[in-house]
Amino acid sequence: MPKVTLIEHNGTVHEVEVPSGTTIMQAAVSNAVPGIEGDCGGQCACATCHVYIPDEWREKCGESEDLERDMLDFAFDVKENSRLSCQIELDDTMDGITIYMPERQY
Amino acid sequence: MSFDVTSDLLNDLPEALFVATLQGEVVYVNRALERLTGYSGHELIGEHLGKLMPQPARRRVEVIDWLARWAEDPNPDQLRYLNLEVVTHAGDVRLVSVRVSRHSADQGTWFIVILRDVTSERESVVAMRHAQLVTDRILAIGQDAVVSVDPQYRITYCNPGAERLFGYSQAEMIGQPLNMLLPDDAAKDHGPMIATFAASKEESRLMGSREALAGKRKDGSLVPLEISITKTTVSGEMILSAQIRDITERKQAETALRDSEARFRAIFESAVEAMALLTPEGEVLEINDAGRRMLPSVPGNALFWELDWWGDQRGDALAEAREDLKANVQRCRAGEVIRARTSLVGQDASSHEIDFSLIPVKPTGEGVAYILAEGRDITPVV
Repeated sequence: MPKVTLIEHNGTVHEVEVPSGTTIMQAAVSNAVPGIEGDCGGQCACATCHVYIPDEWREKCGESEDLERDMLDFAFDVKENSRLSCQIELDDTMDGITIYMPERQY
Repeated sequence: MSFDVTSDLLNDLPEALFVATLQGEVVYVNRALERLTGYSGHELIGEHLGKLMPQPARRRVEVIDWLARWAEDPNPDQLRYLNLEVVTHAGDVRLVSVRVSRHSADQGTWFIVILRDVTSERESVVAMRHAQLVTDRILAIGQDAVVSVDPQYRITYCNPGAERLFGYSQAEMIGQPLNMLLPDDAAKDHGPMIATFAASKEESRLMGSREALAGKRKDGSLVPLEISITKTTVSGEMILSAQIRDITERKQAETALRDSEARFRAIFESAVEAMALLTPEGEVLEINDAGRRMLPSVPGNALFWELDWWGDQRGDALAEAREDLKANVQRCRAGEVIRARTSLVGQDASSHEIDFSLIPVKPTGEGVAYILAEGRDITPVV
């Protein structure tokens, strides 16, 4: 059960614990964490689960694929460490990960 | 009569449409697009489509590249979720859903782009999303358990309160029959009970306020519950939702209070001294067995000094005795402890010497809430 800390753009901190295999987007949505919408349900067909990954966790989160990078064209304030959180599956080695949310998803 | 497809037909399309070259030069707009954007055709034709759909602020999307991409694959999943922005002549930003195809003819190749204004759809989605989040967060922090079931009584929703109460995780409950949360002997009656409610005209019902209801935890232990259920029907499918409160502590408190009341009642009723509890105004709230033995009857709401303490005494003597007692009650109400000896006439007309006291009772330390009247018969035994 990895623990994830999700920090809203306004600084509000949410700590949730989810089973391994859950994506960061699902962890946020199923725990009613504001700031991550997940409109397409995790198909990598929208850009409403955009998050920023701190440098120390980027390697663990893996490389993004072309489609994810394309979808990020539609996200707000994309940075080098931007990812779509539906594409990051949590496992026990990611216990304690912190992710940050952008100002808006729409 | 033959039917000619002309630009008049495109002008009468309800959807906004424009045609642009692959480099983005607008070559045609229909009337619906003029209405959507507030531009007239001649203000757009010959212009780059960036005039209509500029680069969105703080986003990387290149409109022309995405039009090309969608023209290659007219039905990608993304078209259901990704929107572009149109900036109207008046400067308003409208969110538009886009469909695009590529049209080739002898003279060249163009994008045919259809736009649908989805601004108000998005606003209502955002409003619903917000309302949903507020509800979800309240359910997440609520102490009570909330569980919803579908028409087959399978659990479709449970909040963190339900996890705490029943000891199962959400994943263990969702999709399972509601019976998993019920004591074995209650499970068979529960279906008909819910069905009766579902078929009734009531929008909600409180269960467990009279009858004892119990739930079954993961470890098999039972927990006393009070349950409010309500129903919601969307598209013909009814969802029943229950707010479930663990009343273990309340039951324990009720039992403790009942035991305490019984113990104090036993002391009060068994005392040799006559005792009465009065309001500060002198109304009799309680009188014990020894007190009742001194009186033929105690009417409801009687004032203490108007009880029949003095047997057959009548006239001025009775009025004077009552006035004395009333004055003592009033002094006690002001906080004074009254201690006196008095003579009363018993029900058998015998005279009794009574050691009598009135004690102001201040449960919170401030203000007299009650007056305790006590009397001990000290008539010398002959």
